[in-house]
Amino acid sequence: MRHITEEEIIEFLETGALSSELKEHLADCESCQKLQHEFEEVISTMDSIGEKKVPDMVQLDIAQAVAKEISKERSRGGFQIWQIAAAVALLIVGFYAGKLTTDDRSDEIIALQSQVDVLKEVSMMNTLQPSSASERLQVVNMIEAEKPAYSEKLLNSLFTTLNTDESPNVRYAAAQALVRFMDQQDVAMRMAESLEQQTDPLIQISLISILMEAQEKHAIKPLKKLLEQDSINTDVKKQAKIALDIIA
Amino acid sequence: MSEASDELLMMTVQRGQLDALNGLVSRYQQRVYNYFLKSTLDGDDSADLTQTTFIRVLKYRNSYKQGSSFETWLFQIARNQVKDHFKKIKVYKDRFTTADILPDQEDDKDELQLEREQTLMRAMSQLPEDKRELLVLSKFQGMKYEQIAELKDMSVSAIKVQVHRTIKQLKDIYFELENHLN
Repeated sequence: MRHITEEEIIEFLETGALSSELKEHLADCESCQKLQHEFEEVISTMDSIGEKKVPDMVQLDIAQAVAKEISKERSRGGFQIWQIAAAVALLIVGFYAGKLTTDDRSDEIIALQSQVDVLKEVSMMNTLQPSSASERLQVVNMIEAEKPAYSEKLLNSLFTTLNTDESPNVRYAAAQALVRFMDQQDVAMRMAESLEQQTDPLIQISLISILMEAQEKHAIKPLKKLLEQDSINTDVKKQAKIALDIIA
Repeated sequence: MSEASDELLMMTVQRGQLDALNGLVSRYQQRVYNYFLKSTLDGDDSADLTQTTFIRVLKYRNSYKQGSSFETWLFQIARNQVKDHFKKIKVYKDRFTTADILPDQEDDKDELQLEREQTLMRAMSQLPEDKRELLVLSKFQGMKYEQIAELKDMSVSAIKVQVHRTIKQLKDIYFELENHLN
C-alpha cells in the first residue's frame, strides 16, 4: 500500500475526502500520521490567527480622509449648479441693493421676490430639458438642496423625470426631491403609481421606503405585484415585505 | 428596517449619495486593514493602503458594475494597491514585528499557541508575495476558491493547486523555523 501524498492530506483536511483504503492506511502508518499532524498544525494555526482590530487613530484617519474626499467630489460636480445659483444670487443682491436705495414699497418687493423665484424655477426647469445626464442630475439635486416653493409645474417636472428619465441616477435624485412634497395632494398616490414603472432596485427601495413612511394605501397593489415577480432583487423583496406588513 | 446589502450601498454611492460610503467603510475597514497587514507585514503601510483603498472606491465608483459582488470589486482594488506597493518599495523589509500583525493577545490563548502563530507569520513572510497573497485570501480572508479565481482571473482548479502547493511550502518553512528555534 502506498503512502498518502501531501496533496491528498491537504484535500482531506480541507474537505474530509479520503478513500476508505487510504483511511485504513492512515490509521496504521506512523509516517503518514506525522505528515497529517504537521499539516494540521499549520492549517489550524492559520485558522486560529484572528483579525487585528483597526487602531482607533487609524480609524479616525480613514474617516477623515474619506470625508475630505467626499467633500472634494461634491465640489467637483457642482459647476453647473453654481452657475445657476450665482446668477440667482446676483439678482437677489441687486434686488436688495435697490431696496436699500428706495423707499419702502412692499407690493413691488413682493412682486420682485416672486419674479426671482419664478426665474429660479424656470432656469432649473429649462435645464431639465434635453441635456446631459450629469447636468440633469445637478439640477434635480439643486431642487432638493434649494427647496423651491411648491408649484404644479415643478411637481410635474419631477414626476416626469422620475418616470421617464433615461438615467437611473437622475430618476433616483427626482424621487429624493419629491419627498418634500409628500403632504401635497396626490403626491403619494403618484409615487405609488411610479413604483410600478420602476425597474432599478435602488429607486424601487427608495420609493418603497417613502411610501412606507407615508403609510400610503395605494402602495399595497404595486407592492404585491413586485413580490410576485420572480426576478425581484433580494433587497427590494425584503423591503417590500416589511412595507406591506406596515401599510396593509 | 433590514440592513442594506453591500451592493445596494455601493449603488447608492454611485447615485451621488456619497455618505453611503461610510457604511461600507465601517463594514470592511477591518478586513481590508488585515488583508494589507498580512500581505505587506507593515502596520503603517497597511493603514495608508486601507485609506487609499476607500478613496479609490469613491473615485472609481462608476466602474463598479451593478449586480456584481462588491466584496470582489473591493478586493480587486486592494490587490492592485498591494502590487503597486511592492513595486514602489525598493528594499523589502524582512524584519517585521509580529506584534504589528497579530491580534492583541487574548487572555485565554496559551503560550504555545502564541509561539506557533508567531512562527507561522515568520514563515508567511518568507513566502513570495504572490503566494502569500493566495493564503491571505483563502485562509485569512476566508474567500472561496471560486471567488479568488474571479479575482485573479484564473480557473478554480488552478487556484486550488496553487493554494495547496503554497500550504506545502509554508509547512516546510514553518517546521524549519520551529526546528531552528528549538
